[in-house]
Amino acid sequence: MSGGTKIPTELPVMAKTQSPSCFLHSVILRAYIGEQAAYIYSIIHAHRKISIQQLSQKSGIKGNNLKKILVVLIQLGCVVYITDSRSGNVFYSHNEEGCWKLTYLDDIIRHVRKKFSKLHAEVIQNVILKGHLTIGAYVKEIQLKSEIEKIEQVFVDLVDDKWLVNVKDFDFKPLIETLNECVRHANREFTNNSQQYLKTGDDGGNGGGNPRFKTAGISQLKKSIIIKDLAKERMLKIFVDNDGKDKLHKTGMRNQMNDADIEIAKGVSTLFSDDEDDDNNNGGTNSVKSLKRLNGSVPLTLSFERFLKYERDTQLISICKHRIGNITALIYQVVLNRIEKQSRDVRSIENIVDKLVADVSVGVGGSSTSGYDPSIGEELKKRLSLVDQQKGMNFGAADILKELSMSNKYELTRDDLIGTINNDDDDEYEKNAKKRKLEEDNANGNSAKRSKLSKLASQIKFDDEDDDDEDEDENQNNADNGFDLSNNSENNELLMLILQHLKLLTTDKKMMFLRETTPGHFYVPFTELRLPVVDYQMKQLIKGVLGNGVLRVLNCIEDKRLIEEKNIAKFVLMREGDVRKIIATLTKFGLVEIQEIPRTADRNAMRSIFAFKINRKYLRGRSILGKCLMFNMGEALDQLEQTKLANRILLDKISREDVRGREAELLLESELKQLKEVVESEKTALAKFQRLRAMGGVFWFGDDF
Amino acid sequence: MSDTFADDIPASAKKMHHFMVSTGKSSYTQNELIESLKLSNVAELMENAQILLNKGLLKILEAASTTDPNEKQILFASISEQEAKKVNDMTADEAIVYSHVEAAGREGIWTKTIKAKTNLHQHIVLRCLKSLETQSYIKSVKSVKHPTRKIYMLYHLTPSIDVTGGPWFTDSELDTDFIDSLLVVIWKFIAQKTYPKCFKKKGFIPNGLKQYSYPAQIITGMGSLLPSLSDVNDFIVSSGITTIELTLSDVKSLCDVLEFDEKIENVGGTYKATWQSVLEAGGGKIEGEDVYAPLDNQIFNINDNYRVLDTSLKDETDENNTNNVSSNSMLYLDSWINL
Repeated sequence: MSGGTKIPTELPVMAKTQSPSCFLHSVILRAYIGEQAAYIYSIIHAHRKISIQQLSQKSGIKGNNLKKILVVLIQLGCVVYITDSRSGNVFYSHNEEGCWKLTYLDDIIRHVRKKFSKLHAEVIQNVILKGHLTIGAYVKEIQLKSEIEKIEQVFVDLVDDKWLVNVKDFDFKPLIETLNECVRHANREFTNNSQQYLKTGDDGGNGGGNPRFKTAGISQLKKSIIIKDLAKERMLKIFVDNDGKDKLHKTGMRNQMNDADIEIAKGVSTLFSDDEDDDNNNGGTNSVKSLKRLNGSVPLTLSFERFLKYERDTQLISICKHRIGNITALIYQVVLNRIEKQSRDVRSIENIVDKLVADVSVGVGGSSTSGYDPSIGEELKKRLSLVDQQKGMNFGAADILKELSMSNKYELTRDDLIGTINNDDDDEYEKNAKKRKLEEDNANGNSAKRSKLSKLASQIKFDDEDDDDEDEDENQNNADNGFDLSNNSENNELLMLILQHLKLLTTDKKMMFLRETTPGHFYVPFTELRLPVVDYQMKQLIKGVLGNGVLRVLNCIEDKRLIEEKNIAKFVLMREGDVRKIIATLTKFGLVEIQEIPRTADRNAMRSIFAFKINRKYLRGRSILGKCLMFNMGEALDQLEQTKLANRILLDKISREDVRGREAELLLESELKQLKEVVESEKTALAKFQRLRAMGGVFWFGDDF
Repeated sequence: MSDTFADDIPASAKKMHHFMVSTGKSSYTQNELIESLKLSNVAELMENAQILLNKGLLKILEAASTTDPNEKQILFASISEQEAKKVNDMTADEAIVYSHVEAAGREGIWTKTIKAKTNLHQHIVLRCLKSLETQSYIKSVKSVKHPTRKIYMLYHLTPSIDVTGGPWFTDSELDTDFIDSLLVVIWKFIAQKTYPKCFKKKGFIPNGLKQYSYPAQIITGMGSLLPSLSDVNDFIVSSGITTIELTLSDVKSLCDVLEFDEKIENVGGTYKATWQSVLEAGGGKIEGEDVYAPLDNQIFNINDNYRVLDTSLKDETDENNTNNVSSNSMLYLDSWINL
């Protein structure tokens, strides 16, 4: 593209070929804000950072036009910029977060509509499409006061549920730039403090300065490690402190509310927040809700992190449905819904920062020698799994029943739940009853007492059934899910059932949906579930697309760790020729690696054995798969666009005022058929897009440990 | 016939041969023979042995001494008269080839090995083998390990497991149908133990319920009712689905395969079927549920395969029928497949 000043007529192939994510996102941007913006995005994507002059030169788009496009892209969070502190030059670089928001737009809106209301969905849609909004700007056009209050309430709801967060300075900067600033700051801090430490040291006192900043006898390497630590601390502090949040709520309006109660902070804030407080907050919010008002001038944006939590939970529920059962999955949904807001972020900011910090170079010409230490990840994983089980994340069967009785939003009804667990006692009872009847027949009269009892029992049983019927009638009338806390005797039964389902969730050895800490108390091990979920998803894709045999061989290799072809064939009971083909496929997809085991001293390749092993945690296979899914999503959308283009004349025709609504009269039969085909292909393309997105989410977001 | 064959042997040699055949012991040491036949000295034994050897009624074996493992010991073994006559009637070349085939036992011997060991010309070896085979003295078997080699063994011997490949091979071909049907039977047995009434009512969950499970304590931990390996083995033996005898390790390898297929899981020594496998087999359906209803609050799962659109794999198989549809419109996950 160098030197090309001519604006291309359509999105150049370079947008498609440079990377799957660039392809997908430029196609998405083309759909939302037009071809030129997508073109600009793809150019920015190709460069780490690029100035406006270079951009103009490369794209051929000039002056105001380019600036307008950039403003829109920045507004949407698809592009971020860096201002060079010395020269004052501005550089632009791409940011995927904004593009992801647009990619998931429909899903986000659908969920918000279901969870809250249509109005909420409308607000969220506007916020995403505008990038960020202030309430003031949103309600400016509205005349009616009651309407304004309604909208305000919607914003309060969304902020409370953490779907909307205030816009922060670092949202417009690349993460690495924020980190660089932190490193510079840490460097200064270290130098200043170490001088101070030296001074106090000279005075003879051994106190005063922080021993952390002592430089005497410290190697350059150690020094850089300390500076990196400082930078990391500072970076995390920026994320946790989130300076804008104080301004989010109008001061003086929250009588009983305590600042700490309003948890808006993103990132690792969950690490430090006390969820007990959060719970109180939830309970207390109702009473003071009307008094809670948001600051109309603070710009708000969608928290993609919040959406990812929902996405993660739906994924887990879906897996649960396939691994354990329908009703258990519904119970699990209640569980996850209960703790969704408080649960830890899907992408741990600390993990991201750790990886960035590891590559940072400290000082003039300093270079990073160590890189990312995997043990840091291990340690973080342990800490995060502790977060999963902290106070407030625990629950018992009673909590679930309470949740079910309080809300009608769950699909689970009382009738669905009853009878789902095979009760051995019942079977036993039936068997005994049969036995008794036989005995009765055999020895008439002798067992009068017994028969009386069994009659009584059967009567009781009938009575029960009658009760059930009545309940059902009532339920239908009230359209209630049937969970009634006032009925004590039934409650115990329901509690037992729920407890049984919760216990079922702990039985899956491969995927521990729940863990039981003390009898009757559970928590969701999100961190531990992360890898099994990815593996599961990947293997299901392998099974679905490549066939069962491939999964069998892959699992065999995984199980045996290092194994050669003949042995694989022996273990999986398949023909050697078939196994060989499968292994070729597996290596092609980056799922298994080949290891040469020499048998002779001269490492003669003819005599060597070639064994196979799993690529470390499937890292490579996973990333290939994730990227392929991304690429296919782009293809699906691209194809949709192509179909539309091919049928443009027809589509133009039906969008005309005089044709609309009277298509059946005005269109030819062939045109109607063509129209039907277009609609069909559009539906298919969108379905493909959504399915691929549902499968890919696991691979794109989350921590890799 | 045998009488005429052994007629010209002296009585003492005949007695020795008779003794060796009648006691049923496969081999004797020199001292054992001297003692039991009450011979005066070694020379007498040797004389008789030589006569029998010449007639092909005796063979000499070599084995490690019982007292000192480093020392070799000579053993005598008798050969039945029919056998000796058989060999006696053969040509010299045939006899040599036959002796090598016999020595190979149940493992069998490769024609090339015979050629190398006998130092005979290939033509002669082949001629001998052919003649021996037509007389039903030897037979050719197919080896699983080396499917291209021609391997011979004595006619009356059953090939060893190394040659046949065990119960999974029929005519040295992996019998995948047999394996698959066994896998299905075992899986069904385990699934029935894991989920109550999961195969009743055409795959619908009983009583119009949406789920019917055993309580957790039955599926895991102490007092679990899930079948163990030996339970599975007992089931296969008692059900009589196969006449082929399966050892415990054979059953174990079947269970392993099911595990690799993710149809069952090993939970502390017992086997548990996965719910997904039941779903895949068409079980676990909810009565009255519309499986094609829109998924409002659920995510698409690849395992709901009835929901899967045209994949490009399907595309490939249907290629002939769908030539008029541009390949572009069928794309689905294809960039991964066509990687």
